[in-house]
Amino acid sequence: MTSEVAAAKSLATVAAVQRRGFNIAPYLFILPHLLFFAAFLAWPFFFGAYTSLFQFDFLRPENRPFVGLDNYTRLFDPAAIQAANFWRSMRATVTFMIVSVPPLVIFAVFLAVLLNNRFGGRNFFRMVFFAPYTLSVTAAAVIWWWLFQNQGLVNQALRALGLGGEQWLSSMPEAWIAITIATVWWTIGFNTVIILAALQEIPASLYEAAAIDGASPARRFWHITLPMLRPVLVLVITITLLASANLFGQPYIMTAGGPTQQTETVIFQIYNEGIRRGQMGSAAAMSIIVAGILLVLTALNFKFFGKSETE
Amino acid sequence: MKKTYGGAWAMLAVAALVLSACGPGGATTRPSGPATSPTGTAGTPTGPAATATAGPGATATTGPGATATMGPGGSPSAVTCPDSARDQTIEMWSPLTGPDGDEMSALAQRFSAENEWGITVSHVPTPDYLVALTTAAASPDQLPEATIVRVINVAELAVRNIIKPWTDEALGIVGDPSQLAQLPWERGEYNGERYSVPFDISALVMYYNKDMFAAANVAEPGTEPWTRQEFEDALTALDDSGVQAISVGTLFNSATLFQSFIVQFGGSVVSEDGTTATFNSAEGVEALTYIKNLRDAHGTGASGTGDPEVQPFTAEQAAIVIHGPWHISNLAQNDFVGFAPIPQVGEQFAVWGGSHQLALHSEDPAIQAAAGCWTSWFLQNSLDWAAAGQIPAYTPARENPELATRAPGIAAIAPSAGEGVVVLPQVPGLEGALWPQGFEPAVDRILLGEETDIQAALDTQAAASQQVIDQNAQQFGSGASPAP
Repeated sequence: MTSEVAAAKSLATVAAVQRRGFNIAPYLFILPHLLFFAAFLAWPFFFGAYTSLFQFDFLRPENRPFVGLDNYTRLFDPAAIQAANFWRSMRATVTFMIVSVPPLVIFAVFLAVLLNNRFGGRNFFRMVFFAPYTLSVTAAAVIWWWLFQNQGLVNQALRALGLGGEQWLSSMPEAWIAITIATVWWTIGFNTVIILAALQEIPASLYEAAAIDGASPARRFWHITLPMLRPVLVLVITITLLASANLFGQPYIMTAGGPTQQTETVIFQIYNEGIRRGQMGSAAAMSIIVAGILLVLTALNFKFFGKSETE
Repeated sequence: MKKTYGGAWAMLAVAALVLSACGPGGATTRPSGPATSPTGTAGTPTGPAATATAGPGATATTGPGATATMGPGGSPSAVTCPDSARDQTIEMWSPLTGPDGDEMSALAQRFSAENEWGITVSHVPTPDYLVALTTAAASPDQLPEATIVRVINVAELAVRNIIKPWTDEALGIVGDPSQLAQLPWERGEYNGERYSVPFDISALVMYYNKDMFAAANVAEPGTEPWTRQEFEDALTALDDSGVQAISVGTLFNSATLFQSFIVQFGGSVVSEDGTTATFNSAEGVEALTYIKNLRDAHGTGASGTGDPEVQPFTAEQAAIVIHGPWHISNLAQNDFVGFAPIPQVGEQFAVWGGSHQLALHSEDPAIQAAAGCWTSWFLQNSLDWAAAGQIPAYTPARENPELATRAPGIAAIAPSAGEGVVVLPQVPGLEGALWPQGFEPAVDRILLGEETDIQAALDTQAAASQQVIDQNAQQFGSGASPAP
């Protein structure tokens, strides 16, 4: 009897402590991620911000003058080479986002709807479409670099059809088309799998009810599938936008930034400035600006596309 | 619905991790050649067994080149080393990732097996070697003992503390510098210190199709560069015979042609001290006009990365291609391929070039001495390296009659390149300022027809280039080494 009372009392105490004060358990739960976040995101971010205030060469600690905001102001000085390079690469990046995000999302929805049907070999095709995603960017880009050569398979196929060949990797806009095709082939499996998972969560009863009401498959897609997918699509679009903004490996390998630097993306530019030229401070300033722009873009995306679920 | 949304956030976190690991912006390496070397130190005999000198390969080099006065003994097996070099191990990186890398590995293995001091040299071909060196230098004990560097990178590597000067003792083991090609030797010096010793000279080669030349009644060129008249007559005759006379591409191909022709016409891409971009001169306009006409009149206009301009030549569709010497080993397998110096279209001969040089990361006297022994042996065995597609920096090997049989392609270009090679002054970051930030985009914009005003295109890029040169001077100090 007394022990039961004591137990009840101690339970009450614990509950009171939990209500009133500090409970370490939740923090322990997030600790592993927090550690990784701190080590691999927070610390590099703040160190990058610090770096951007110096003329910074990590191999020459003896020569590392503080330059204040010079690295930033130079990016907004139209006469400066850094500004010309940075904003040209920014335009290239935006171009790629515009041409690559729609196919990466639309084809992924299309593929996911197809793969969600019941048919023989369904799992095999799910694997086939996801398989390229497991390749490294180097492997994927080299494959397509090779296919898009002047005498490559793509041109040989086109010529066999009597269509003539293109200079895929060294003319505009063909270079963007080639890079986009390579990227879609390589990464679409990821988007497809996410959307497929969301499709499987849509209750079958909605489709059954619509079918009873005589809705055509197209109407069911527009009025059930797409609205139900909306939250996941916001996520997929966000991820795809960010991934496209980080484009680097494909132009690095397929076009070397050409023709005439037109596929030199902003990450490519940061790499050139920081690693190739040893101007880490200037490169860090570029990174900070890009990070800011991407944060705003992500927030806008969630604000406008993520909204209607509460309506 | 709310629930799905929360799930989405969780997935975003996971996805962000996945993407950061392998998204489109993930880490890359260049798709060039083998990434690692098969050479290891295992199985390399050290101790008494290694003193059995002269393996089968060594006897091949006892021509005049090998008997010259680098080592007191005058034969390859007679390199003399101080005792301090005994049993040292040298890991040596290089940007040689093609077939020439395999050849370098074989030479390093042979030296390790043959030398009497138990010195071991293992060669590691390293793609994107500058980035690899830079990142290795950022952490302790990651750098190898030595690296074969491109001569144009010496100043930058030196100013960033990645390579260390050679000691006089080690240089004494290498031998007499007057036996080495003069310009590459001079370019291995920066700020009064000796940072690298030249192994070879690379220069552009004019590859031609013997069968097409015969069919068009064009006499094959010799080791003397063609005159402008001979070159243009040949192009016309080849065109008339119904083949594509010459294949001219963009990027490296057009940039090296530009850098060669501008000097041939009497100009230069940069001032002697490397502080002023001068490629927008009248000679620059003349050179670019000439290349543009070559490409428009004769080419099908290959362009892009990966040397696509060589492909029509390999496929026997184009009669001539002017390119780097690293294509020699592949192209030499075709009987139809001939080798010649590039034509002289201006009033003097000049050809774009580079040089592979041995630089050291270690200041340890024992390592330095061992590196001296290796270099001495390598220079005396330069004919083997010539066979891999490089012109020996070692003059006795360059002038050795055996060169013609051992490396016909190299023998054809060695005499002209020995004198006319153009290597940029030794200034940190100069190649970056002049190429990607300088004339390369202008040359390509003109060749691809994106711009037509050659003077304006060069002016724009010269201004950009000058900014980068000035920024580099401010960052690295304006310590341009005294250019010869």
